[in-house]
Amino acid sequence: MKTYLYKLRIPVSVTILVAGLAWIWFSRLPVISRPSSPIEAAQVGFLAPDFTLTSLDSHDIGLENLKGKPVILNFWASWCPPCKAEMAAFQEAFQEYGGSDLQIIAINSTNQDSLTDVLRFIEEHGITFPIPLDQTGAVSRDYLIHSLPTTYFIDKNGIIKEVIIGGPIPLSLLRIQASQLLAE
Amino acid sequence: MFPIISLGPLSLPAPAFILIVGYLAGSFLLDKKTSSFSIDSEIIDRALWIGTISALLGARISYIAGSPAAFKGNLISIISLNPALLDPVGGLIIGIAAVFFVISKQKLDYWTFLDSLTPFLGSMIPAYFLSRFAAGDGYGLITDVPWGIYLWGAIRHPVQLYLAVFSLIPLILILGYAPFKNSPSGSTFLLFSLATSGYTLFLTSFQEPRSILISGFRIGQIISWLFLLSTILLLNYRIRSSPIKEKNEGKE
Repeated sequence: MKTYLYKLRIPVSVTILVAGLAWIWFSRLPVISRPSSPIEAAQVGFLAPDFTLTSLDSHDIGLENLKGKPVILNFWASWCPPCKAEMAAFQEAFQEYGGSDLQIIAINSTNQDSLTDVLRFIEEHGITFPIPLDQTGAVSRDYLIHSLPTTYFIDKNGIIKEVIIGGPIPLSLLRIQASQLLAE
Repeated sequence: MFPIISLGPLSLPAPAFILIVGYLAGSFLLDKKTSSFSIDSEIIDRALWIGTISALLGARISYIAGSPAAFKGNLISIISLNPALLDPVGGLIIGIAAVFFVISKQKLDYWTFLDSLTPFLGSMIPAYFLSRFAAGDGYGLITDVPWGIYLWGAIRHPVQLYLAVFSLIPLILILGYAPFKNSPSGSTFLLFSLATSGYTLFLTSFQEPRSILISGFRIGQIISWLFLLSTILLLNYRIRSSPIKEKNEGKE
């Protein structure tokens, strides 16, 4: 039996390799079947879900208006310790990349926060970048926010390039992601 | 997709949790199976620990080496607990190098070592596919099969579940039958690699590709085929140079 298997090992090996090649050939994707317009979903490789929210200074902020610009989109709340810990890094990145196309937006999950706490938080941390308020939680739901903070890195075409759940995100990581987004 | 496991006020990242469970289960199986491969389990445990710590440190060093300027004026982030500051490929290479350094210092046979490590790998691979499923990564092509799952705006093949289920087959065979009778050292590891590259080649065809070669070929499948080829060549080499061959040749 062993001799039989020993003798068969070459034909069996060749059969496996040829079958593998045949499968690669038959399962290749026809180029024309690729979707022409990307689907909106909160996942790497998909189009970032669009939103329009009002900021603390009563300005409307929406992704649609930022087309052509890379965006770092952070979700936070004032009671969340890692959100507090990473805000200084976001503020520093906002100042460092102020002259570039990069947009830093931090959506407050206002449906699970209080406006008084949000205002105190912004004052304490000296935040000057836009803070849209997600009063109903609809945008957090669209972005499948299960945990705070969560940060999306979106390229100039609106495609999500990276998602980081949890924090705190250090400044070095923001710099690396920002330079990758700006280089595209 | 379930990226976060919520236990009261505690939120655990599910992918990392699944990988840790896979690691612990793999260490347990490794301890149970090591004696069948006539190798000291303490050496294997030590090699695994050194490999794991080296991989983590290597992943961080490799990440920093990729963009040293980003850490200027922010050196504290070098010791950040954020796993996003890890380079998995760099970590894997450094971890493997550290393991091989340990076993060469102990003068162990590489093939026997790889055989004894196979139950650990057999546990880590299903955990890896399940962690990808939990994170919603490596999602499948759009389909209308009844077992399709709604993910990222469409009904899709649960391809990471297919991979996780298929990856249990070699694990069960190893736990039940390895080491295989009258087989040369290395055959447990190579047969495991053969099975892994085989089902990966087959099942990744149901996965939405992130990178495609010209004419629609998937890079992942081509890498799997090359891995399959290397495994087959090495397996044939091990069989040819084993005592079984001499016995068979003597009969011919």
